[in-house]
Formats: sequence, structure tokens, C-alpha cells
Amino acid sequence: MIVGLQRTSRALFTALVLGALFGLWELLVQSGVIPAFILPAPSGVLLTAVNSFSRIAPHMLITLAAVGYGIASAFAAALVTALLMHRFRSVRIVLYPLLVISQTVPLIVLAPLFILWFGFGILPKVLVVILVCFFPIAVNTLEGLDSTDRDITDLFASMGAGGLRILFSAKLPAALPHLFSGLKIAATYSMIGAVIGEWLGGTKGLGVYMVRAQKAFAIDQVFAAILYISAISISLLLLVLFLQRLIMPWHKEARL
Amino acid sequence: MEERIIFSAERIVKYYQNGETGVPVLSNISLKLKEREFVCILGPSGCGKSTLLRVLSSLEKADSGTIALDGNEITGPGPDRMLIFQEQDQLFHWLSTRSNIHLALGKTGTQSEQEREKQTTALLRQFGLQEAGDKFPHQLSGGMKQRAAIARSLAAGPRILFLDEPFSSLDAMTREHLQIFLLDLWKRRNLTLLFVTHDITEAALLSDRIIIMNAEGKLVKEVENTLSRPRDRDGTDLHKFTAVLRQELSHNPGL
Repeated sequence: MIVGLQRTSRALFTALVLGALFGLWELLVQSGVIPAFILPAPSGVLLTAVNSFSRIAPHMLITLAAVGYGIASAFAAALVTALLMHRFRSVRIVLYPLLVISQTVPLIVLAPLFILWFGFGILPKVLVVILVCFFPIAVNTLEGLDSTDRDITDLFASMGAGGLRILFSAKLPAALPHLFSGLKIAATYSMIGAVIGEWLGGTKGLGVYMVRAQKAFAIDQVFAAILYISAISISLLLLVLFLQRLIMPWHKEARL
Repeated sequence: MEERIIFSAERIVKYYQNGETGVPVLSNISLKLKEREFVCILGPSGCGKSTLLRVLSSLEKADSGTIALDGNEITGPGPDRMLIFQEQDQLFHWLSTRSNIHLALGKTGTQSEQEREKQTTALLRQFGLQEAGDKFPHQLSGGMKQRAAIARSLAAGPRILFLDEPFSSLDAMTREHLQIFLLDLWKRRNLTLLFVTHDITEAALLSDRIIIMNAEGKLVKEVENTLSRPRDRDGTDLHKFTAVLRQELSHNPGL
């Protein structure tokens, strides 16, 4: 009861703060303190978003495709990499520095190179998403595999399980919370990755749409695109959370 | 009647590396377990009792010394010797109670899946866990978790159970209940038990024989427990015996 109450009051508090913020913003624009062509009011953004949905939708689908392919490939690659790095010390020694270095190269530099190499299609965007998503999934999963409770692996060993069976039947399920933490980070970043990829060169997608809107000084259209990007990112995060609850029914604390 | 030695450890030595020098955890430990015997190791916390059990189950390597089952030296872990921990999170938390037990049945060749299911159900019933079968470990009480852990280890078909203070994190009432439960289990099954504890009354109540271990990881004294069973936890005999044990413990500096 008390926990439920706390959760409700917390949600209420968040809603209040957000409401106040947007209310202030609305008020500033409506009263003319900030001209609407500089910063459109929240109500205006919402209206534009609804009105231009049919125009934005095809771009959104392209971006979603890049995100989908990107997360799926990053997930598969990260899982395999984490398992290999956990099992083979040599793989870990070779790959770990590479993984870290890959995160130090600025995306803003890499994305145009991808476009140069792979054209204006979807592939360079997918690559950017992979680059953004791979690292958090791989590193988190590896940490989960490494930190499996020794009692649990010992019990498997006593039951006569070999190294591979322990890896897949004990360590992998025990590492699932870590894996999902990585996946949550990846889901949040994936949209940004795809949009950056499109922003820097492309023919379709939300990033392209934003560039065009910006060049036409259609600030309300830019904000409408931002609204959709945020909404999709949040939906992706909720989707991961839903999957986590589905796959890990034993886990009590699957929350945001 | 001459009892058969089922398990023996000879001159087990183990050091923990501490910088350049090794700190001895187990100093030259030898012990023998007779078939169906209930032996308690009594010693202070942090005296290496847990390490000893891990070495005896071959989960950790000793620096020297050997262990043997039925007189044959063994080097690797196996379902013949199962270990029960103190911690209540030793169950596989991603599996239901039923699946925990079912998993431990292993793939021992000839058993059909139907037989395995039947065996799992029988174990659940025997351990009073019928209602808990489909629950996850975090939904069980502490006592149920420890019972489920014992049920699971029995599913693996061990001949020897090593128990590492299995009841010490439970409340007093549950602990007393599980002590009786374990005695009953031992009476009905062909099991040899090595039970580590720092609770003198527990050792006196349960064991056939008590081995006292000191803080330097040495077995310093063996006491036969000749109290007749069933034992009365509040009886004068048991109180006299615990007084003797307490005396023994106080004779050994470093405890």
C-alpha cells in the first residue's frame, strides 16, 4: 500500500514539474515574450506534429528500420562477443581495448565516413546505430557473466556440468539483469544514433526531415520531429522493459 | 560391528596468498567419515571451515593432501558429494523450485522424462514444498529456501552431504524445526553428513561425533557423541554434554 502510494505521489510530482515547465513555456510564447518563429509554443508543436503526421510517417519508418536493424545486429554481435570474451582470456585481451577505442572516436566524424564508404542508403545509418548500441550491451553482459555468484557455478560443477553448460545454463541467466541494463542504454541511444546518421547525409529519415525543416526555417516542424523522436525513444525503452518482465518473471525490480 | 570408511581426507594443506607470504587456512587436516555417520565440525567463524568443505567437494584445490571416496582418490567435483551453503540465495533464482530440483536430477541416462517429473514431485512432497513448486526462490521463506536447497542436492543423488552452517541465518524456531527435519531425513536415507557449525547445542543435538577446529585451521580434538537418540534439546544429558564441549573449546587457545 505504502509503496503504491509512494509511486503514485512520485508520478504526480513528476507530472507537476513537467506541467509547470511546459506551462511556463506556453505562457512565454503566448504572451509574445518569445516570438513563435524563434520558439514555437508546446501547443503549436503538438498541433504541427498531428497535422504533419502523414508527411513525417514515411521518414519515421525509415529511421525505425535503421534502429531496428541496428539494435538487432548490435545485440547479436554484443552477446557473442561478451560470451567469447568471458570464456577466452585471449579474446578479452585483444578485444577490450578495441571496444573502448571504438567509443572514443566521435560519431560526428565517423558518420560522414560511413556515408562516404557506403553511400546515402540505410547501411551507414545502421552502422552508426550498431556503433552506439554494441558497447553498452557487450560491456554490461560481460560484467554480468564475470560476476556470477560462485556458489551457483560451484553447484553446477558439483552436479557434473561442464564449462559450456555452466556458461549457458547458469551464467547467462544470472547475467540477464546486466544484459537488460545494457539494452536499456542501447535502446535510448539508438534513435539519436540513427538521426545523427541521417542528419549528416541521406535522402530519407527523421534526421533528413529535420535538416530540411531547419533550412526552411520551419522551427515548428523541427520541434514536431523532436517530439516524435522522443516518443519513439521512450517507447523503445518501454519495449525493453516489457521484454525484460516477459523473459525474467523471477526478477522483482524490472523498472525504469 | 565394523563400520566402513566411505570418505577420507589425508593431510590437507591450503594457504591463501597474501602478498609474498602464504597464510595457512587449513593446516594438515586429516579426517575420515564412516558410512551413514553424522559428523559435526565445530569451530569459530572464519577458521577455514567453509574452505575445508570446498576442498572436500573438490571445488577448490588444496596445496597438498588427498581425498578419497571408497578408498579411491578423487580430484574433481561430482554429484556424489553435494554442498549446502549458509546463504539463502543458493537456489537458482531464475528457476522455479520445481525446476531447481528437476535440473539437479541431471541426465543420468536411462531415466525417462516422466520418471524425472515423478521424482521431482516426490521430493517436493517429502520436503513439504508442494505449494512452492511453481514459485520462484524469492517468493519462499528462509526455511523453505534451505529445505529446497537440501531437496535439490538430494536430487543429484549424493552419498555425502557437506553442510556449511546451513541453518545459521534462520530464525531460532525455523532452525529447530529444520534440525529435526534433517535428523529425520538422515534416518530414512543412506546419507553420510559432514555438518559445519559454530553452535554447540546444534552440534550436540545432531552429531555422532564432533571435531573441533581452531582458528588456525587445525583439527584439534575429536569427541564422540554417545547421547542416545532421539535427543531432548532441553534434557540434562544434552546440557551436560554441551558443558563438556564448552570446556574443550576453552582449552584451546586461539578459538
